Amino acid sequence: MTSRDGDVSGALAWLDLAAERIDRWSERLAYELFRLALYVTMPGLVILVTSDVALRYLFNAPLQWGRDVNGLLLLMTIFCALPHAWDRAYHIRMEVFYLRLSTTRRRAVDVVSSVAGIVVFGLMAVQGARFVPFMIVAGETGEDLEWPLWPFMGFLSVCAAVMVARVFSNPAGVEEHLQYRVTGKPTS
Amino acid sequence: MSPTLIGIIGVGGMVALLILGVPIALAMAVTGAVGLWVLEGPGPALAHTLLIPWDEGRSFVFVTIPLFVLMGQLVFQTGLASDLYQGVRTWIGRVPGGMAITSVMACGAFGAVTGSSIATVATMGAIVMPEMRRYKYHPRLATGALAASGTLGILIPPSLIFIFYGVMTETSIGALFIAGILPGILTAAMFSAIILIRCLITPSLGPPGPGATWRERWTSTVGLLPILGLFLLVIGGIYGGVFTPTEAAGVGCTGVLLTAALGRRLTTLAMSKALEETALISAMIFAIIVGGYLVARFLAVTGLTEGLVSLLVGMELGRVSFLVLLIVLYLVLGAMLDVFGMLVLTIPFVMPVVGELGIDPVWFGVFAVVMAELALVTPPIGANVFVMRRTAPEVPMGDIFMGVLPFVGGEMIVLALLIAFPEIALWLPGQMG
Repeated sequence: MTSRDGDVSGALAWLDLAAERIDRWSERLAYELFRLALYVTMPGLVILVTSDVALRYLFNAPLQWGRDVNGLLLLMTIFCALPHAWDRAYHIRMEVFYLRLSTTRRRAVDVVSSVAGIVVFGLMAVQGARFVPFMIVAGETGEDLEWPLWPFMGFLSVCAAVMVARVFSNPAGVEEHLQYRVTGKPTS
Repeated sequence: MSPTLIGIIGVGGMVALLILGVPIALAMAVTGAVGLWVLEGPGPALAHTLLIPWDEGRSFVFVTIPLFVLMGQLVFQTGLASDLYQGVRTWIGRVPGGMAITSVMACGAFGAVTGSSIATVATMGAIVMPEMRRYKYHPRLATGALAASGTLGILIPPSLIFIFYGVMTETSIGALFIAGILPGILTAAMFSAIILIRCLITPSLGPPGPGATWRERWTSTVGLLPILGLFLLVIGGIYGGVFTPTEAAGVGCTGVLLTAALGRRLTTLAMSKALEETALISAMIFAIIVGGYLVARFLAVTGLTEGLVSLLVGMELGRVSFLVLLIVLYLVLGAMLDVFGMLVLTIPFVMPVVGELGIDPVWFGVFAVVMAELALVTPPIGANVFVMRRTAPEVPMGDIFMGVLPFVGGEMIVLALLIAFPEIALWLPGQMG
């Protein structure tokens, strides 16, 4: 084996290791984000909507900032759930032809799906990160809520980046090899 | 290269991605993002790709989706749905085909607290199918009735498809919910009549079920009251203008939680599963909506939509001809796509023509949902049939599709009535507070 071959195989081994780490960490991160949605933001959404209705009709004192906070909780719920939803195969595709493709062709379609996901969520992650300094300078807040919105934009950008990592690591969006599940036992 | 040509290439590319099996949300989103990049440059493409989810993700109307999904999931996971079935069975189980008619009514009642057709079939199928097996119902009638009745879940409010359509077209979700009530009742009546007539002609198809004493009837009816009360609270609140659909969904969720807690059915596992399913389903719907918006924005920039509208209007098709054309289109698309994909792909093109022809968007929403119902039970996709097959693995898929056929005929009659008498859908919303 020449030193050039050794360099190539070393680089490939390093890439393999990097890909494996990205897979492991992003899956864990996607799972933790999902748990945040399940146990914090979604129950918060239900409690807030109901309390707002009760306060409005029983005490004629609706929460002025209710809609703004609801919107932010919804945004967080959705973006926290997206990467794990990809891992759990909660995406709809036209399966008529896909299921009839050979394994190799199906893998090729999965690579195309992965590239599409990386493009879309990559753009979101990049633009989100670029918007944050702009929002800080502009001092952007909600309509009725005087909170700065930039942390939420930053959060969206992070979730989009996790999504990029998931579509890269799990191009087919299948759950067979998942380590983390909320109500089921780990599959491996 | 002209924007129209770029638009045509974009649509062609998107269709190719869809046919290959790329997830619908990604196929649409990447087409929209890349198309906008080509037409307007990187700045606007980046801005649109971020700002659509940022704006839609914080929309108060969109909050309705996870809340109604959660409400249905809670009813499903806490076992409240079985009360519905028992309540109806004691009253009509004894007539010919009574168990199948019960399944229609129970699906309609379950549809009144959930917005998902698949959840309706999965829930009611698991409860009713063993009973129909026990009373020796013909497998085609049993599975066909259940798969078809599951579609009532998306017509009787609350309905996820109505919310989805309302969000996409900026049509009042409250009005859409109310518009679905009469067509939903009409469909349930049509399905029940089909079962009754078939069982009167061929009694062996669906022998009468067990009788019940008056005491049993009243006791089981009391079990129905909490769910009935929730439906009246949610839909009555929207109808009377007391709640917005989002508020009604929040109140409905809390109502189901309290009902389940009082009945000692609210376990940690049930709650966890309901939250989990809700988050996953909502994320999936949101991704499709964002993809749909991105591709719609791209099409608007290309001018392709306007060109298509001018072409269709220039053909002077008229309302009925246009709708017949759409029925054919939706039947073809429904054979290949999920209902969300079917709607999100057609709405950007169809809605401008709907407006141009003076068709009421609320009425069109009901029409679209009825078409979605048909897509759910027609081959080769027929999602409800696949769910039914999981519940009744001994019945071949072909038999379930055959069993569904009479109900598809019934659904087409309902569709014809809707086209001939739009008031069926529009009368109730016209009376709203």
